[in-house]
Amino acid sequence: MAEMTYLEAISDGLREEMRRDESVLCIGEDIGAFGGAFKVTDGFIEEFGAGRVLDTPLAENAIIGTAVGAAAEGLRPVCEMQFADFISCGFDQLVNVAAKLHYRQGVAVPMVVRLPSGGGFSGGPFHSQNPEAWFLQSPGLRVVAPATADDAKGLLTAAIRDPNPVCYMEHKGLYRYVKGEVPEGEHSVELGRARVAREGEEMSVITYGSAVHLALDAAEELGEDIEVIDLRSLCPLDTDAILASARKTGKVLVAHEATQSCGVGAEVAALVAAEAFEDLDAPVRRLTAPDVPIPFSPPLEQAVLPQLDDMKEACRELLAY
Amino acid sequence: MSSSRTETLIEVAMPKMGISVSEGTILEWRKQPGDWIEADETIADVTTDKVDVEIPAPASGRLARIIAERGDTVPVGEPIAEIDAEAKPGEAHPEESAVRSPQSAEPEEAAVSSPQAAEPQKDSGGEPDRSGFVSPVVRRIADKHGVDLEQVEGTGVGGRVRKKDVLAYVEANGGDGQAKPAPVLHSESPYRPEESAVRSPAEVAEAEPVAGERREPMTPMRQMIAKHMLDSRRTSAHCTTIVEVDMSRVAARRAELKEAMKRRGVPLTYLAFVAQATVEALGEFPVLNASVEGEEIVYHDDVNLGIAVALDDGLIVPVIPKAQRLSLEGMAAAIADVAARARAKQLEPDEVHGGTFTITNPGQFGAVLATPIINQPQVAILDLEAIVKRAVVVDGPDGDAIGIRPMTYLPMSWDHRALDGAVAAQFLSRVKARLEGWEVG
Repeated sequence: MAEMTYLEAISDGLREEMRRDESVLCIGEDIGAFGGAFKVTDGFIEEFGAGRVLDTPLAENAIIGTAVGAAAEGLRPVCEMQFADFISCGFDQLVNVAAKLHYRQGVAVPMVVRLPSGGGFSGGPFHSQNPEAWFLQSPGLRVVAPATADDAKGLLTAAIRDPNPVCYMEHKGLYRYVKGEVPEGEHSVELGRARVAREGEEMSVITYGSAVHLALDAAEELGEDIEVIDLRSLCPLDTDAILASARKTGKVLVAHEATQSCGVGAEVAALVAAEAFEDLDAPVRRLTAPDVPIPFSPPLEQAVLPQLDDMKEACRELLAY
Repeated sequence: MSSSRTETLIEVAMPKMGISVSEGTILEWRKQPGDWIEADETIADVTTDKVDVEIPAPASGRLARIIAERGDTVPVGEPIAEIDAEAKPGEAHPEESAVRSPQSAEPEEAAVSSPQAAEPQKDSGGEPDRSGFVSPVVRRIADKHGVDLEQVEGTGVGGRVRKKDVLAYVEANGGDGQAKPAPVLHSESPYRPEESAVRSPAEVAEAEPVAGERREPMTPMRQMIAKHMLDSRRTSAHCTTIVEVDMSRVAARRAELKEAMKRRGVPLTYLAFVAQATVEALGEFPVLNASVEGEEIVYHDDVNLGIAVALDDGLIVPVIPKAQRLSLEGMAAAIADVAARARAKQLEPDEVHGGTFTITNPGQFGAVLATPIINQPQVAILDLEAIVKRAVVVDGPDGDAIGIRPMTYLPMSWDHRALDGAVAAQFLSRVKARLEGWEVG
């Protein structure tokens, strides 16, 4: 075990897989000589060479399209979007080609798209989004969203080894904020398994990504018996873990930084309502960003993104219900 | 029903039970006039010529009147009962409280007499009183432990009884302090109609019992089977042809595929192989996937394959539509699905309709030969008998040899009006060749 930041854990997982498997390669903008917009691939071009660490023009559709072709031919490309927001330029290749190739032609597409997402640093509307729900509407894609350094490495390893295209949502706010013990060498975390981040009896916060830390901090500060479920995988969703927690506590808050409508919270709420209705002691609630673009202005951005006080208030209300 | 009380009567109609069903027969009333009914609770069982159906109450209230008695056959959409939706749970039935004056049942007074509204408002510190609201989990725990929620102090918003409140109450009182064996939602009316009111004509006409005998009326399903079988005997010129099949290769292929399919939740039976071979052969012999109508033969494009499923009290033949489109695994899954739902009595009426060819499978119970009766208006029924190891003459390295092989008979009853023995034999030989030559590995 070694202590690493979330960012170092991503680098470590990627480096480990590239050393282990020659078919793994990286492709993206400024990932080679510059080492990536956030320095995830710093030093990679020296170790693995320009043949496996490909710098591309500013053309996301070309990055994803190249990766689809490489994956169909048996390689395991890991694409980097400088910001998750830019995936819109590569959307057609991702949702219409990568997601559907196996369904249409029986061809596996073992590729990963790393999507640095999330706000909190005044990045404004083009550099702060949490677009995971876009991909959940595209059957054929898997979506993971680690919240800890351990999972950042383990889920990236599993995503690279998975035969499906996987969208890997890495939260920029966690890059250097989150630190933790991470297993050295090979470390993989099974896709589709949630994690009980904190056990409790009174209510459940079902969450992922940056909101996991809000939930854990809120539970500590309130001193209440709150359970926190870190989903880790958004597709496939660990329905067993969600329902087990909902049935245990009878009160569910779903929390995420992404906007509200038709998001993961809506999906989890519908699942709980359908399958755990008779165990509910309160309405299922959501804590999310409102349905607006992320503002530049720091006070406005704070007002839009869920904050610790919002999480505490949402928990208090549900506990009192 | 004559009552001085104002009633809002909601009609319970014979429901639509599939496109091919026009009427239903009341099998049993689960509720009697005067009984309290929750919306969607089953109030009666109805049988059609296909399947049995439970009739849910369209609204909560008190069963005011039964219009169709047990045994009556009623067209779809016609009324079978009425529910008084103004009645309150726990309130005495008007029939048994004739001493009340007409005014005693005015809506506002009825409302006051309901237990929840009668409770004094709890002090909720300016919040709206929510002491009357019961969440699903609280309701369930209260029912399970027989807790009267009136006795539980609510600590939730607006005085609401929370899960932790009812659990604490159960803990403190052991669940039996206030326990009631009956559901606490309402008290059951003691009113019951006279026995004679629900006796069916069949019961009245029953013969006197003789010593050493026991008489039971046939179930509606039994009566239906009896009628269909006799009708078929009268309709078709039944003839039965039998082939013997070596199932070695099928057994080998089944062993190869079985575990993987099991992991995918599909039980792979011999029946699935026989069904697959039969459906393929029907494509080559369309006269066996046909019906006789008057002096015409109607050929069907699709193979809608009937699978006879034995039930505890009879037999039902669910249909797998367009069976020619199914792979072996698809066929196995479809058979398992309809058989399971047939046994659980969960088939939709339309699922036992429109078959073009039927397979029956008494072999699973050990039979080795039978001459089945055709399922009208089809022209043939194939029968899978038990697969048993027999000593048979096989090709050995030095010519004929005796081998031990899993053998079965496939008898098929067919209608001599539609086809002749040569075609029946050719068809069966085609099925046999397919099964004996099944690709392995």
